[in-house]
Amino acid sequence: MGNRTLSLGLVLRALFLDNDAYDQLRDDDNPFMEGLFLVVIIGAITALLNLIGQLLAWAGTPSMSAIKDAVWQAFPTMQWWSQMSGNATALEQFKQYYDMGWQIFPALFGAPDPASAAANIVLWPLVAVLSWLIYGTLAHLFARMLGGAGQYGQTLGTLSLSFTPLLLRGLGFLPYFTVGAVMNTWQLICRYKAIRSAGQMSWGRAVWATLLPFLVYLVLWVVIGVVGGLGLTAAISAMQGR
Amino acid sequence: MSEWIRTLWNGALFRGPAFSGLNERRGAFLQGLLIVLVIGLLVGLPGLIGDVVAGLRPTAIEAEMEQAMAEIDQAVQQMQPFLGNVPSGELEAIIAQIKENMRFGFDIAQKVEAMPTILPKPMDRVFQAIGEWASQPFAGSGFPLGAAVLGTWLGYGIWVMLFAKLLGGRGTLAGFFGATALYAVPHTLSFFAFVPVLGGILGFLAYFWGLAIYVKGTSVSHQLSIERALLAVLLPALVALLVAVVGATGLATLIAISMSGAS
Repeated sequence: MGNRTLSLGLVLRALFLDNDAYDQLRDDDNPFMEGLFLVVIIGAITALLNLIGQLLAWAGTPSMSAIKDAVWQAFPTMQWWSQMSGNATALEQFKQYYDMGWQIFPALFGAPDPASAAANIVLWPLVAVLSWLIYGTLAHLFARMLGGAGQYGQTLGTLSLSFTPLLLRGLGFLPYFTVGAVMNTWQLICRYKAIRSAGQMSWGRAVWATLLPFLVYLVLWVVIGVVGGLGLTAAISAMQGR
Repeated sequence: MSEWIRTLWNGALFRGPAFSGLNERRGAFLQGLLIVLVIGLLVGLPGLIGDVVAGLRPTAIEAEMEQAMAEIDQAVQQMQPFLGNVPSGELEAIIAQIKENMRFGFDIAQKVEAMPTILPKPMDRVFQAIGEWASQPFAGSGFPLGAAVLGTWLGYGIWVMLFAKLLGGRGTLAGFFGATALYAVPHTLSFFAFVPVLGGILGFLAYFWGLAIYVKGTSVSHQLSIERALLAVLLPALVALLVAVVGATGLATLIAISMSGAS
């Protein structure tokens, strides 16, 4: 059993860009395991706090199905309703779109959803681990190409500290709280610090090693888009040829 | 606390030790974060109080509807000189339609308001006001460094940091973010944003004052001359503008070529 380097103090120091915090985790005897634990715990704790906020917001809001019914019952007061209600097909189609809209829009406009928030307790740690492994592997490869000296485990270990800005999501225990893009920018800065610490590189090389994985993502999305577009075109033309 | 306020005051007056003190502090980034966060929350206080008071009024929706109707009438009156060619009958029909749609929305809002909830009724509006107020400092700003918010402090800051490094700067990330956070101090003037005319003037003043402090913070943290620091601060915006202009020109050219080809 190795030494435990992780502590709340270390996590907070990494969040506030203290170099020593990154160096300390890099020099741990098993930075990968410490990193994995941290990424999972951050995902789970923030999802739990967020669930509290969602439950409070839900308890202060009337039921969505009651609101949906109230809107539907109010339609007959509108002038256009009398024209449409005479046409059974149009009315049926309108009802279908109305039901579909109520499945999509409440979530888009931030309506409280405790069920999704509860699912996030599993989902957020899972997504965080995947993102950590994929980005970490790419960043490690680029760092090595650019002369970085860190081991794979060290890169992943220090990169786990770049998930500390995700703790801001924990402020979601306040109902209707939104973090915005600040979390992503902060995480990017922490990623740079982590890669620089693990690879012990110059700032310029560390910047490249931080950004190049995103270039790979971009290329991948473009390729997926092009291949998907071509596949769709081929499928449509095959259907037309039939 | 008094030392902290003295640092903010000295920063607002461009006194060097305030910047170098923050730059060299061990927890420089945390200090900077607290400055932007506290000022961002302070500036949002009048809005929070207004929202909570409005939410606690029992006739909030009726008042909102009356205000919205009055605003429509006022807007139509103001637009009257530009609507000379529109026949008055048509204009009245359009306005009546808009008002009917709005009344429909407000009727539903009243019904929703009357629906039962698990927590006592005004809690949701109070929660919403508090949540929106607490979220404000984490947002971005429409214009670089245009408000005391973390989005622009970090988002624009990383680009300034990069250009400052390219121009020979020797600052650290934490020190740079600590020293430049003082740009938020003049934005306390935005506390009066709700005052007509004066609020706008103070906001304008706060922006340029904050920008000048930001340049000073960049200069101190990177040990750059003021001219180089100014360049590092302006270059990200200029490069973004250039990219936007080139992109728009390219797009316009493509559209023009495709249209001429089609005809």
